[in-house]
Amino acid sequence: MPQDNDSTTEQNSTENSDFTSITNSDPVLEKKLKILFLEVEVLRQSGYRVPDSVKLGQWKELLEMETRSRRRKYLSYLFGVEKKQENRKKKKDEAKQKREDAMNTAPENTHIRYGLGHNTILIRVYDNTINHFYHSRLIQAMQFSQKLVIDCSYDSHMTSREAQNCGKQLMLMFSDNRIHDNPFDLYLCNARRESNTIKQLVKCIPTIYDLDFPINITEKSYLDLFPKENIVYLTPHCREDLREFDHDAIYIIGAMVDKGNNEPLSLAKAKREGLKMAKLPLDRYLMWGSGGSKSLTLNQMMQILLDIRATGSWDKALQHVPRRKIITTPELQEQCSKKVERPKRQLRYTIKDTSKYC
Amino acid sequence: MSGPLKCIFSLQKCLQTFATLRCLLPSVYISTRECKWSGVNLCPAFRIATFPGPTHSFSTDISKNDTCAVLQSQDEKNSDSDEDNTAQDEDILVSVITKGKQLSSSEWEKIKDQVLAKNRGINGSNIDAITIGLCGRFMQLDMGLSYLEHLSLSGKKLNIATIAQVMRMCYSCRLKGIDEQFILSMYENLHSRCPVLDGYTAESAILGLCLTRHWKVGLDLLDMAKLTCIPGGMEYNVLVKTAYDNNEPNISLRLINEMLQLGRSIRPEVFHAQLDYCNRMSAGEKVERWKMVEEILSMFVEHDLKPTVDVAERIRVWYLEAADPHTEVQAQLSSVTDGGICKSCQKYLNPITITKEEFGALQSAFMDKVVVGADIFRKSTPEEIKEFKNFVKMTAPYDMVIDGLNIAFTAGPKKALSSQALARTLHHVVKYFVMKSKKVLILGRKHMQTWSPCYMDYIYRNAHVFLADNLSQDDPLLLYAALYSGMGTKFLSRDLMRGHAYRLENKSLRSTFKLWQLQHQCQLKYVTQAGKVHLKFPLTFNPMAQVSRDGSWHIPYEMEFVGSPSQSFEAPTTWLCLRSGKLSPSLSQVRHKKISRMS
Repeated sequence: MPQDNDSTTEQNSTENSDFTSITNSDPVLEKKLKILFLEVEVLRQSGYRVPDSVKLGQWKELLEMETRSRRRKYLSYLFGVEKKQENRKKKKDEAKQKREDAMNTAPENTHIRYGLGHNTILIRVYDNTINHFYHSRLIQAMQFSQKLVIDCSYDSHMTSREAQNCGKQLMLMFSDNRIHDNPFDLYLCNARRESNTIKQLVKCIPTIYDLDFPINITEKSYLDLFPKENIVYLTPHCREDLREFDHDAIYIIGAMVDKGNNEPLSLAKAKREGLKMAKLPLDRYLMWGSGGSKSLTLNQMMQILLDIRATGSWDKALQHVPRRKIITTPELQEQCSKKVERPKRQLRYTIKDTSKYC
Repeated sequence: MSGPLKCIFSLQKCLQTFATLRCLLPSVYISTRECKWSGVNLCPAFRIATFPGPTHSFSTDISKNDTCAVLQSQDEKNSDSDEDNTAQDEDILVSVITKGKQLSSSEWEKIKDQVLAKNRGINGSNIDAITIGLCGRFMQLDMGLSYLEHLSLSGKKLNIATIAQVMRMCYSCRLKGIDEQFILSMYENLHSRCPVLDGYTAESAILGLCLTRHWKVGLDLLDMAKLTCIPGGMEYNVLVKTAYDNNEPNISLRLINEMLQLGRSIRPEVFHAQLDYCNRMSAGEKVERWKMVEEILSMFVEHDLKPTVDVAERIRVWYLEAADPHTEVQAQLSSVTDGGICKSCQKYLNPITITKEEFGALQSAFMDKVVVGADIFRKSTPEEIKEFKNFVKMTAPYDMVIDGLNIAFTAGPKKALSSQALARTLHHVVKYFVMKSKKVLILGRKHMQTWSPCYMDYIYRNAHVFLADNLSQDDPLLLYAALYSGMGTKFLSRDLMRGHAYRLENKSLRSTFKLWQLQHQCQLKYVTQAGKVHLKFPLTFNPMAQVSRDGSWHIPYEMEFVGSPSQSFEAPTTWLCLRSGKLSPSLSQVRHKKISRMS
């Protein structure tokens, strides 16, 4: 048992918590965990960015990482999160202090206070009211509107960080949907509760599993819920463009953050299940610039689909693709001038071998 | 908007049971009151702007540059971006240490106070390790020792990281002479406090202990480090070197095998230590010595290692010294032509040999691991694979397998080519081979059926063609067909096939694949519109260290230690040629001059 006599409270706090839950009483893992305690301490003493206290779930993640550099990077991230929380708390305290000082030093006011937080002729609209309005529309959508399926079965292909990002994107997708004039009826299929994606989604929306929450989450697959002929799987790896938005079809979007994994997983899934496939007509309507990959986040996809359904115009719908990915004017001018130059050169070498620029 | 408003008022009562969802507003990380008000904005465009927020929005109080330099070992090439060595925090310490003046205890105290007062990155618990680490980096042994004195005077206990840094400093300043007892006492201190060490501390301890007589403890520490991490190249190199210096070749060989398995590269110091060991063991007997060096050369051959030019020079000199005065010997630094002839001895180098078992293993593993992989649908479909297998069974063996699309696109950039130009390029290449009466298989995709018929007609009539689905990957199919046909088939593609090599997880399969690829992959240089085709044929000789049947050695070497294995498919240009042979007496005097020709 490493007995580091440095006066840090961290060592004491870790020893008090119960670690058998993450090691499952496996002696090898327990030993490894103790060595990791020492490693974190050594990193801290050497000047690396390491948080002051590491929580149980974070130890579990550290235990699963094989290489030192990965652990270091993860600890650096945790350090950032911790410092951010500290700074936020400090700012909050400072603001509170300022407010109190202001209140103490303000002159006596015998009349009522005018202002946005106090007495005003404007009606105060609470967040709740707005939420009720959105949800009422969503309930109507669930009864009458077109269905949109999100396939959450890709959790095993994502790292934990990617899965967390995916969960956040799902939350944003939901909020974009409910704000729009004509929302979809959202179905989250293959959504297992233990998966990292859904855990993060529940963190963002704690009440999502309530019976009266306007979303459909199920662990069943879409094949059990909907007939196969109507299903169209949207995947970026296939060849056919989505020409027209079909209002009777049930579109499926794969909930996957594939920054690390380049394989055509959604294509493989759709092929195996024998479903129709399509991709957004990005190449036809937009000129892609050199920066930025062609992958779109889930909430951007949602906005595009909502708009194409509402307006039927791809130009309007594809405005939701981030502008930084589209080609910029100087780049376009460069490309055009290159195209002009080539035929000029070709004119000079008509008879001779043109193999030079093949 | 009256419709929805009416909706609100009428449904308000029944909707009051719905949960509130404050958290649905996009989480802006500095969520003050103002932001929440504006977040209720109904315009969707605002939401894009706030997502995704940066996950590390530090406040300006913390300086981003941090003092994390101390634990970087020399071998780590992938330095993290957050370990900025030129941190502003360290400036004071760096400027003091590089001056090299020994400081008294009170002076150190003043400097420490200065540094601690200035910033937040360095605090009371990590300043010691950082200071000693900097002393080690700048090789200021005396300053480091004086700092330790200061610490002992002030009664502060050394923490684990500091002791580790001290041992590292001792190692990096080893040429200045370190007291063995000092290191051992430090190690005792460390060991009594922590019987089980983590990766970083274990590595530093190994470095320190290798300067003492108890270096064998380093082997136990290495095993301890393996519990939580993969040990770095530096520790292995140091241990191997120490083992040789202490005349323990068995340990060294075991460690060398281990480190090569883990992908660590051997530094030139290790080879020099090996050669010194041979020198000592043979006690000056030249012929004895050469026999031991031959074992080292066999190791080069087995593991495909390349020494640096200084090691190669030493080997060359010893070869000449060990030579029998009656036979003529040749030892030169030379180069090799494209055809595989060594310029100094005018002989062909060995061809690449792949045994039948290795090739058989590669063939059988290829289908499972590369073509099918984890999920067959990612590369192709089951029906297509079956169809392709039958096709190959019927029409194999081929002389040449061509990646149709890869070749067709050599004519120019993708967007500028018409289907006629693509078809024409492919046609020229096929004609080139057909004229030499070779049996050709072309792999393409179904959309190639729309290409210009006059050229494609010739191709369909004179070669076998397999068109895969538009959604399938054709590279694995190409490699499968080439492997199936046996050792005589070559394939033509510009793709380096690195991704497919990676999928063969086994190291021996990967090396077999690489050898096979070197021997069988042709690359297309250019095709003119008129029909002239220029190909680059594969290597005819083995580009690795080798010994020929008449006992002559050819070892490729590099000018500088690179550390990572060569990724390119080009043969090495600098070779060491050692051979013995009878030469005509008139030329013998000329040849014995040590001409080092390095092209």
